[in-house]
Amino acid sequence: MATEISDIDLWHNLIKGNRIALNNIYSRFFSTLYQYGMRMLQDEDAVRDCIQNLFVRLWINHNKLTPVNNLRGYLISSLRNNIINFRAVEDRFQKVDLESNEVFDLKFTVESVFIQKEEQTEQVKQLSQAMNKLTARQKEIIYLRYFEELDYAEISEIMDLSVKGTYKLSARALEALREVLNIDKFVLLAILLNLKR
Amino acid sequence: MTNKPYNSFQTEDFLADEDFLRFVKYSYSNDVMFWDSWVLESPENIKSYHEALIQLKLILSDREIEVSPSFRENLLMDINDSINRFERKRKNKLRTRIWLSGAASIILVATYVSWYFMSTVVIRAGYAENRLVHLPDGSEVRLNGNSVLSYPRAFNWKPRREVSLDGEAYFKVKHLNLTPDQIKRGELFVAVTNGVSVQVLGTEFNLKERHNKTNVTLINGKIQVQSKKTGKQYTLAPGNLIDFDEKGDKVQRKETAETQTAWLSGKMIVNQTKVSDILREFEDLYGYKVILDSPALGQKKIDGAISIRSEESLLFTLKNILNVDIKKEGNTIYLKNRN
Repeated sequence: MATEISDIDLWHNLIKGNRIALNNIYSRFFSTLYQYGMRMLQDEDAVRDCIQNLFVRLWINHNKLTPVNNLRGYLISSLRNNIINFRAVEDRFQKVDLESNEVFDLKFTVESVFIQKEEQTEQVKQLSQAMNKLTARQKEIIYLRYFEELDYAEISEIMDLSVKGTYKLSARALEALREVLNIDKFVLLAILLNLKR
Repeated sequence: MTNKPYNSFQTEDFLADEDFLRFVKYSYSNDVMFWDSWVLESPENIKSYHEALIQLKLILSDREIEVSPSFRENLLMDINDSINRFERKRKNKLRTRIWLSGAASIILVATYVSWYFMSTVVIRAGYAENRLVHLPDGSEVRLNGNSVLSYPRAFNWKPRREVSLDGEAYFKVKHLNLTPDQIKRGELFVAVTNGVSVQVLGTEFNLKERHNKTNVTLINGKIQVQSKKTGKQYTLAPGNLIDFDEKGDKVQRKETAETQTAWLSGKMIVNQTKVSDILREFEDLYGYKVILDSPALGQKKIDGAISIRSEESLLFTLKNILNVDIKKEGNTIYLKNRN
């Protein structure tokens, strides 16, 4: 649609109290939020609660909202906060070990529509195995970078890290990977996020 | 995108490049065309390109998590339901608050109105005090010492203007009635003591009641005096005065209107008046107890005008007329014969 309203205008209309704008935001970003939520929680009912809470709060506080640069990043960040609160409540009741509880559901496989048969070399398979051993937070960074196409500043903000923290996290991941697999350092560097800029 | 130095890109440069990512992720035809032709040129870093390509494909290899369309629609419905519930609650809260504040102000007004109509204004002149009172209808009352005047706060709203008096006061009643044969609501003025009720339209009169003895003295106009104890009514003409004893019976005394209103100019006019009566007046106005050395002294009669503006001047006059010594002890004054 050529005349589709921009994210910024949609957001502006919501701040002014337009209910239709809220519905449009939902339609536009439902997939993004659902995918991200499911990868964080792996529980559809929980994701449902978090998304519902996110949108109801958006409406209740609509006249206190401020303009945003990247609506996608803002919504992911809000959903993430909802999920963290949800987890905090769950943990209080279930006494589950915090560390083991955190999973980011992102799997790397050579059996993909992207990858042709002749590309499925032993090295690529090893690479995918190594990548699957990344921590939840490292996977989350990769997801936000390549699936949601957010930049490092936005990812840092969402994950409550300083940009430096993002670097550090990757450096540690690099070390861990090197221990798991004896892979070319260049390849490793490449897999983990490129931090040159 | 053509101005980027792709020929010198390392693997990680390709991985960080948004155009390269878009090409791998979405395979838009113009991107495919661009990269196909770039590969055909066989650049030196073609190996890096292939590495980046396979790694990016691996990164993007995860499936999309499936969701049913009904989930999406139901969730939106639930969100809208919650918001509608919230909005209703907010409106109800606002309505309740408006209703409550309305009820509160009605109660406040009702409280004020009932207070206004039920309560009484009480004006008290202490010993040796002399107060001018302006009534809400414009009438004036001069209140002598040791006297109390009271009237309803809603004075002008009552069917008749009514005041109660304990002590002595001079009334200047504002005349509201214009057609004497037709007296309207609120035009009649009534002054009440324990012993009498004085009905007037608009006049000047003095009303005094001490020790259950009442005197009414009319200066101007016409008044009707009723003894509350006997029920008898008397009509007074200007210059007339009337006295009642403790039983409410009319008694004859040889006072004049002048002597009755002398207090207004700070004097007491005595005319063959017993000293004991003068002293009693003094006690009433100044709050002292006077004790005489000999009872015979009290029976003495004097004539003339005595200043009652201050207790000192009154005592000084008595001292000289009676030839006595005066001793003050607290609230008691002793009069002692000099000889």
